[in-house]
Amino acid sequence: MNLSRAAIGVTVAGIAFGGVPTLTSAQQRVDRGLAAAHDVRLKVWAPAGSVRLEAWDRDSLHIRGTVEQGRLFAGGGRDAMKVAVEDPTGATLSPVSDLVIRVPRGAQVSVKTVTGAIEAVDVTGWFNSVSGSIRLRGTAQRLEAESLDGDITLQAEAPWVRVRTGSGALTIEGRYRDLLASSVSGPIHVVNKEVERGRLESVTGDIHYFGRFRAGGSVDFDSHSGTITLELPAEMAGRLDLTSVSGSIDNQLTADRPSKTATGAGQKLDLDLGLDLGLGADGTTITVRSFKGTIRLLPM
Amino acid sequence: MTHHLRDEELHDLVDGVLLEAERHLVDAHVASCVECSERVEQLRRLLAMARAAPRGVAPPDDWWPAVRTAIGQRKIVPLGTVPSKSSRPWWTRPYAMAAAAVLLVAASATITAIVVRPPDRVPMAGVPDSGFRVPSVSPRLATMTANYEGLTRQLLTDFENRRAALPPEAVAQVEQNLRVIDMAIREIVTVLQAEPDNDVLLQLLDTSYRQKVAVLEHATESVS
Repeated sequence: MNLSRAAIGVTVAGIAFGGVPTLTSAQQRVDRGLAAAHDVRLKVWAPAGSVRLEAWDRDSLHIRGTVEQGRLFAGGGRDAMKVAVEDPTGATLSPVSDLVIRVPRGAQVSVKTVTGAIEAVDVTGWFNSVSGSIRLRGTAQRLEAESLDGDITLQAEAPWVRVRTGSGALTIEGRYRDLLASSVSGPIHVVNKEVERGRLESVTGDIHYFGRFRAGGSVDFDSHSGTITLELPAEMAGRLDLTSVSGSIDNQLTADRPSKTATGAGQKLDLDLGLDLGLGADGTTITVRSFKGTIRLLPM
Repeated sequence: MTHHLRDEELHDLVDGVLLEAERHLVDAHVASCVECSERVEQLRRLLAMARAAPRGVAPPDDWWPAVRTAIGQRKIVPLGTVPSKSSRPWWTRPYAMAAAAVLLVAASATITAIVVRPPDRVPMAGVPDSGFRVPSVSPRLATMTANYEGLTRQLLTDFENRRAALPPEAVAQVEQNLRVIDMAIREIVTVLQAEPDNDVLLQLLDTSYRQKVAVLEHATESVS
């Protein structure tokens, strides 16, 4: 659907769903409540400005904030709802709004913006922006965030996380058992204690991992030309398999030195940490691959 | 509406959250399009089945001991109890298994030949096409390349169809990301020609291809 069609759709929908469109002059205040199921599926479309979602322990939706150059429509059934900001004239494809939406704690949201910033606290769902920043905090069952060139920051706890950006920065702090973090040229910075299954990948962006891994886990780091830095605890148990096809490896974690790859163009290093102490049985398997970037191992 | 329903429109229709104007267009299309009408019915049937399915199936209390007993009984094969030739199922007989193996190899070779056939390239206006063609230096590389190129070709078409709805700076960013990824793919493939079975290179190539798919998927999702 293109944006103009979305605008027309949202306009008519306001009437169909019983939403009460309020014309704007310059800025319009919004304060609305809607009954919703505890596990309501909610779609939010707020092109520009900001949208903040907060979980609360009520079976209802509450929308508060301001809308400029557009109208707010909210409707649907108790199980599936949609909140959208649009410009009914179609003159502005990205009407501006600043919204705070409270949703039931069990809600699953799907939030989309163009330039608008997204923030969510204790909310499970999918967050997508073209160039806006995304910041997710609190506890959730599943977090999926994508921004073309906006920054994404996670300070949360969730068992399953997928985060992607093109040129934005990924900052990931918290506890995540299953983590995918991917960027093209943006840097990835992770501080974590619980990753069990993970994949962190970039093309040219640097990757920096600071922290521990869950015992028995498996985590892959891939970069084409970005520097991959792992800051790991000295007592870590596990197997590390590092290869840079045409780059170098800088190991400051142990006394082991890397060897040349078969072609002699790059370096490789295999480490078994803690195995001689019997700690490796439940150790983590870390695989680091780089085409021409540097791989650095540092002690925490 | 002249195009088939997109997945998002399809799901919104079934979920009942289509906006009124959208619903008129979608309903009109479904009424006149057999293919989309069937997809809607399939999805509704699937959802109905999912709703009707039990929340969980608890195993019977005596399930685990029974499993252990069954496993234990099969751990020992008494001598002299090898099934006679006539009592064995026909598909376990040597000639049948050999025939199946031959068929499997033939089918696999045919599918591989189809999959690795060089795809028809459709240059996209505005989307960088480096002109780089991945050489078939190994079956693994050929299969991987064919699979991803088919997917990215479709996504590039979708992106072209929707690029007008994206802000110009976003389009430029997508194109820049694609250029960066294509450059990485080109460098990896160049080295793969000398080391066709290098697992690290193949993994890195797989990662680059997946990132290209992800960039295109995100670009099209952003405007759908």
